[in-house]
Amino acid sequence: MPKAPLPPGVSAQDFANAIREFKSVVGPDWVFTSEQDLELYRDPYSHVWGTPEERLAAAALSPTTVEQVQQIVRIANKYKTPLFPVSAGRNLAYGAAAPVMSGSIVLDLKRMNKVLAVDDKRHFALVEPGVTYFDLYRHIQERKLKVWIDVANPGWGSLVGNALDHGIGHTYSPYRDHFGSHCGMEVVLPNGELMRTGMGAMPNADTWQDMKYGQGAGVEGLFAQSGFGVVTKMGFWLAPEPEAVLTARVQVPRYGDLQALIEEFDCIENSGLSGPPGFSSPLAAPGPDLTALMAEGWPSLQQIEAYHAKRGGPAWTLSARFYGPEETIRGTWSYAKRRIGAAISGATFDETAFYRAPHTLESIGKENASFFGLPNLDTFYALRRRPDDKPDEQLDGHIDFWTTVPRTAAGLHAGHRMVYETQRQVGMPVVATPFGGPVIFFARSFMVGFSIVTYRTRPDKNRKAMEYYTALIKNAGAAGFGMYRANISSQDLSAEQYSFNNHSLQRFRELLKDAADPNGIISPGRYGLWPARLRQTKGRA
Amino acid sequence: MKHPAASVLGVLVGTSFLCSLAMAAQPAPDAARGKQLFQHICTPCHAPGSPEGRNQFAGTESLKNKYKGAVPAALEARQDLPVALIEFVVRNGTVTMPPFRKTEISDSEMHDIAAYLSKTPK
Repeated sequence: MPKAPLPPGVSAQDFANAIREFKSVVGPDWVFTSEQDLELYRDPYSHVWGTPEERLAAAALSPTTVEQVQQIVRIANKYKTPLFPVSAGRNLAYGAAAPVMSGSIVLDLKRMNKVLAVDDKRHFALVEPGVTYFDLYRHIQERKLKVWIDVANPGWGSLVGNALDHGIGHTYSPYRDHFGSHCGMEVVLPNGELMRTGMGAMPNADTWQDMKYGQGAGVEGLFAQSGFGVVTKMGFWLAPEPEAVLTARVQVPRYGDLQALIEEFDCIENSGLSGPPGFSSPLAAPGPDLTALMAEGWPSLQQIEAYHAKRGGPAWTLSARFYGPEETIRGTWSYAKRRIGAAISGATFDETAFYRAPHTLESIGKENASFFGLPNLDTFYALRRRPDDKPDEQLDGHIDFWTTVPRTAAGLHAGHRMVYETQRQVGMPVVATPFGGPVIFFARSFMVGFSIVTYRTRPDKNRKAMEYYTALIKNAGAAGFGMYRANISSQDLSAEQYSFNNHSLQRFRELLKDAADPNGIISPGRYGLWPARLRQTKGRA
Repeated sequence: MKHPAASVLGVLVGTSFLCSLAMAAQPAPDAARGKQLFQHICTPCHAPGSPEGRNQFAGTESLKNKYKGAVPAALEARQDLPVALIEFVVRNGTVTMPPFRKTEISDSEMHDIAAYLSKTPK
């Protein structure tokens, strides 16, 4: 393992003193400084593995109580040792438990793992950062509570950590925006003081997880993708367990029908009547005719339609799912058929499955468990070892590129064309086509993106992955397609793309950062936000 | 460059002896607790699966593709898993399986899981 540097500007003596004091707070077994232990705080999916670009922790420590977190933050201020809080440390593809800045001390909150409350009458949970989707699911099942979690993939992630990195789920939009569905947080501020947001600021209020705002300027957003404090508790709104789930498919005959299909279904989803739709095209299936279509550059509409005419069949498929009482969701499906059928001639409709509660891994067969509020690790199946894998070409992980495009057919096609041009620019296999679909994470936008595989044993391939990732971020930014998350290697670059009025948003954040965290000890560099003393050097020697 | 997992078997004989010495002062591993921990932590990737129902378990499928039937794909059905190998994989990961930190699986819990998998009733 490459040796981690000391935190920038911290002497060896001060670092040793800080470590000694940290040990007095959490006990010597829970302060990690050995090479062997710090190996566990490397990002196993890193595409800069073993290079000078890899971000390495100088130490790690793991508290179990809020009071310990407060003491740790005060010690960190005393010695100016930067802390990098992680919750479950499973933010794979974006950095896992590794810090943005080498020399940071990872504040591993995994052992703060208490489910503090679940109310299935008022539909909320209050949890500590180490609680995973699996943990909360088991807590709910053991008590036979009638609430659903909107789970992230994979399910070993932390509710708090996922929400604070703007993670997403798979059911109705108010729930699958995990930060948006939080209600109330407790934060240890950079000076060690404890703060609660929303109604939590009012002593004796019994509405902390019911009413988000309380009164006055909201500050909750400062604690996501940022470095303004250590979140030690967070409330989340949960959905009542739906009685049933209906899944359905709509197909439309013409390539140009996509825009109408998007518009019609937007009216359904934005009325709160459905989960996120999926859009795909049978025309994206590989074949020599598709290869020929893409060989001469991005095809014209005329070329696309000629290709479609040759292949035949529907142009686009929409997959939908509806959650709720049987009479309601059957009614919604009937409404969807009437609405889309009136707008798009030749559209076809199929109910594909119907499931009644309780929803379990056994009852849903081979469906995506995340669609049913069931935590799982199925996402790793896509990365499994294949029968014909050669030992020296076995991939070890991936980094993720997901960029926000308008929720229109034109926006979607522009996103895929940007990817296509980038693939040609950097010499990657050209696989983007005008038949690529979106992923729908958030309610009102599309995402275009994919995973780029990484290898601990193939630095040549990793270098290419970094070149590709960098070009994608820049080209997406130039087109106005911002990343919604970024790997720790590239958060500065990703943040730079949000540059309106000479980066006024980031400059405002820096103003707040310097006031709230004058010693710059909380998460230096997270999503491009550096404290004043490290802003120029970005934490590098 | 050699993959970290590639040299595992080569060092197991030596490390298992050292591990035995190091663990001499520790409480005996609890295989029953290890079973609970395995089911809690490991089965989402290492469950046996069934062709009729859910079978998309990444760990089970990866091991099936690696060993091509020479050993069972489901870890609980294996009869050849030494403690040192199990513990090496927990702390180092292998291919896309990431390592587990001590805050996720403590040393004591790891010993229990290893005891269960290496002594599973066959």
